[in-house]
Amino acid sequence: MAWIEPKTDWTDADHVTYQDMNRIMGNINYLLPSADLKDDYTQNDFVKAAEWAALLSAMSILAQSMLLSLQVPGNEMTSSTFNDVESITALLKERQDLIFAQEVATIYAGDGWRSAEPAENYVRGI
Amino acid sequence: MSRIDIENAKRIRTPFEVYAGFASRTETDLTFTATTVAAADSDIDTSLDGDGWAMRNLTDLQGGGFSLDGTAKLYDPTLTASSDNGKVGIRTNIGAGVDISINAAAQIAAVTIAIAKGQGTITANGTNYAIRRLVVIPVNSTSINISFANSLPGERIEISSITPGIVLDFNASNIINCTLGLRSDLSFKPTWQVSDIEIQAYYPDDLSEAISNVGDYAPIWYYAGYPEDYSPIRYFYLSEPAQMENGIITLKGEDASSLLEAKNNISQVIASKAGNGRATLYNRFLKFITDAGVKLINQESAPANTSGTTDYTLIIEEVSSRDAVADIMNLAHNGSFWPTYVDAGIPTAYHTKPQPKWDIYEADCGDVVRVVDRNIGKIATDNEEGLHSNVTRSTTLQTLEAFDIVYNQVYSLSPEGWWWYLAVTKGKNILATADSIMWTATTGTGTRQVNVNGQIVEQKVDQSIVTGKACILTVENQAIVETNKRPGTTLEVDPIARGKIYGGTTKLYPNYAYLFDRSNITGSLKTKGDPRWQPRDIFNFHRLDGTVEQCTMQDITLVHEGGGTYADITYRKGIC
Repeated sequence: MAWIEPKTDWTDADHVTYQDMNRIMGNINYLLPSADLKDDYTQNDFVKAAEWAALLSAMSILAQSMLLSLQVPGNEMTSSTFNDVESITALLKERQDLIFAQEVATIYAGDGWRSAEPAENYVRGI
Repeated sequence: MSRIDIENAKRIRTPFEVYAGFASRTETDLTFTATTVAAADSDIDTSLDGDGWAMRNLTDLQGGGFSLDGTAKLYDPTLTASSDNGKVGIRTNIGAGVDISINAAAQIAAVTIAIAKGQGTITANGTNYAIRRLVVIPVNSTSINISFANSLPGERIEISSITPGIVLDFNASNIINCTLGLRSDLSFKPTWQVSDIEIQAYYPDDLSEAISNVGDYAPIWYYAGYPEDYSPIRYFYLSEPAQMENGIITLKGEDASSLLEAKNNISQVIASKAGNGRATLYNRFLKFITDAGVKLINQESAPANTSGTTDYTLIIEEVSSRDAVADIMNLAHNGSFWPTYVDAGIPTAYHTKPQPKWDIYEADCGDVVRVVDRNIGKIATDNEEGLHSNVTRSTTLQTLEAFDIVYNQVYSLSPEGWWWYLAVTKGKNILATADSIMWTATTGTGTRQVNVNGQIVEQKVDQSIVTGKACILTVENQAIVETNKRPGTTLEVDPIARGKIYGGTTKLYPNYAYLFDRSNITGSLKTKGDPRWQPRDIFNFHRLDGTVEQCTMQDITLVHEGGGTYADITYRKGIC
């Protein structure tokens, strides 16, 4: 599934549709295909507790693999939770892009992944 | 100011929203089998006929999806229904229906299906019913198959409960007439008055057979008001068989105080001291009510004790709770101590003197009638134990009678006078009152030979010996006259209580002198009505001449009819 830009301006007045869930789950599948999260929700579906737990688990695996220390969101269905989920997803994507970029570039001093701030890493030729 | 007060202040107020309903749920256990649905409780046999649990707001993606206000919960198919978790019920696929087979542990007259969401048709036994919030399906069997057809392609049908019995709810759209008779008796010789409700409402399905078999005491509830400002819910209980004729259901119910009549209390001696008299009388007053089966919704706690140590004794003869409660309210209202029980669907007991709660303007009323009776000048009784009396408790244990007994036979004795301690030997299941004792013999009387001064004589053994300590009663007066010897009528009464209870130096009960302070002015009026009013509520009556009288509501007939509301009130001047 293609990457879709996350929505990070959720408010408590908003409603989560099946398209939103497909984006959220699909983006994590994009970053971690082995997560195999459900990303084909329809209006007939409910978001199940097990599916949400799988999402949070996949986010945690991704963060650990990128040496990121992140607070994984909880189970409360609030705008805060969804902003956290999608902001973290965006950060993971940014981090993964950087790592992929570094893998194809000449890495200055060979330690480009040591900073959490992408701008601090020096990458040549990209 | 509340919305109801704001509307009442208008010359033409917005019509009340009136809600009433009826629940005749039986305890028969139901089991369910449903065709494929989108979501259901894992313990559906428990959850679906448990109508006390709220529906869980799930992360449902139908329509516009679920809200992020924090109320939606992730759907966990393994989570069982409970009061904490709520329940899922049965939720169909969008646009789809469901078939449910219901089996009952015993034959049931009907089931009531509560639908949280959805539109369409229910079919059962070849009859179609439109899906509404509550749908009653006649069964008259131990099983039934029910099909739900969904008429909204993009939405689910959400079934929150299927319960055995009949549950109906009514509102302004189907209520033809709802009349409440909220009653008390503020006269000088009051009897307890039961309040009632009568509802006539349209109902689209024929329930005439199922509804006629509903037993007495099924609850009827009622409230009215405006969004976010409704009157407290009143509960009445079916007093006559429900009827359905020409599509109109008629329900008649009485408040819980009707139970007072059925409760007969044994004659009893109540010992108190000057310091605990108020609490003792109030607690006994509450016991007369609750022992009859009334569950008080609002209850003021008993007054605090003081240090007075003088002993007082009160005897109340064998009497129904109805008469005891009415008598205590009639003869103990004085000062700030005002033991009162009001039901009218909201069983409430308090002891603090009430203050005005409402304002009624004569200019807004119709049919205002004012009646001035002759004052009472004298209160008298022909009861030989007097109008008022003193009772002291003897500490001497007397032997009253010996009974030859047969094992397991029942015996009784009603000795002359009043007794605060009656006991018996060789007895079980002993019921001792203030003027009698009843027991079951635990052995049989026999004889034995004993040597008395060298002679063998025969003696009885294993008799039941009744002993007791007497209450010594002295008459204080047979009649009293008003302090200023005002002219007036003589009120003949028949006291149910002997002796007295004091609170400090105040004679609390029975005190017939308090009746001289009760106003002889009564009246009636017609007004807009308010669903919050209760009998015995105090109101400021703003007269046309500018004066304001404090009055006590006696009876309120509150009528919702044709979209409007009015009330007929009878009252007595003063705080009664």
